[in-house]
Amino acid sequence: MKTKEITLLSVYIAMGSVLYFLETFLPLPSIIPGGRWGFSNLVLLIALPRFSLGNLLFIAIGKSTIGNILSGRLMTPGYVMGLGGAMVAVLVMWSLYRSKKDFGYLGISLVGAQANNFFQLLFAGVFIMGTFRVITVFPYFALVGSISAVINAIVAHRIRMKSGDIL
Amino acid sequence: MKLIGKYDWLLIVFVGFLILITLLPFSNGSNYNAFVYINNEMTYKIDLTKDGTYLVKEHVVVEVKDKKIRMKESDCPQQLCVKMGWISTPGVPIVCIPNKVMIIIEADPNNLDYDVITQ
Repeated sequence: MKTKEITLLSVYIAMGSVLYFLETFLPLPSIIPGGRWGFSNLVLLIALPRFSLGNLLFIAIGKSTIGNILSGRLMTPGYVMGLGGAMVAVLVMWSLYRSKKDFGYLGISLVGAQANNFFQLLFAGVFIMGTFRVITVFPYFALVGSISAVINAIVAHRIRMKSGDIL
Repeated sequence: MKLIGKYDWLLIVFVGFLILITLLPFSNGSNYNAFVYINNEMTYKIDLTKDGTYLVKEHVVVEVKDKKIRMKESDCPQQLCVKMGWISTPGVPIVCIPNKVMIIIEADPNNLDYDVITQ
């Protein structure tokens, strides 16, 4: 059991890191400076019903760290924002999933993506710019984030259905 | 876990509400001043009715034309502030994080269509 858990966690972190790295090549609508699509959140959605909170956080930290090593941005403000955002998203999605209410992938994915955006903007506002005004670009981030969140939800649902006990 | 759960509409409404709330500060007044913040201190107040270019900081040039303002030149690596192009309304500021320069447009409080604004 222990070995299987380690193996699974490694597979999830590997998938997340690659997605994180590959999405840096995807172009974004130009009004948004310095944003990203957030497709690596897909891995956390697939992992959500299967792992404990600690393991989910471990996947989030692993994919952000390795993904940023691959793209050469380790320890930059962008790394700290991405790491914190992914961890906040895990906390929010996990609480929604564990609330025993009937939430599906679509809702959890949307709220998780928005929690991620909100934290990153708040972090940029408070620690980098020193003002909350940065939050005025939130609607643009939220719209782009919602597109990828819907795609993530559909893909995660299909993978969860088809993979059964393997993933 | 299902794709769409019974209470997912609640979460979707919540996200939509969040987007609407953050869109609210947009307004359509006619007389604007741009404020240039450097290191989070208001450093310059620029009248948007007068065209011109301003050197606000070393290697950072701001241009005003037709009541719009843009970052014309900057020495930051990714040039995100320059690529944002022109802005003419309050709401989305131009931000250059490496140079710690921020351009914000605000309506002139003496020249508004409203009586009072609560903040």
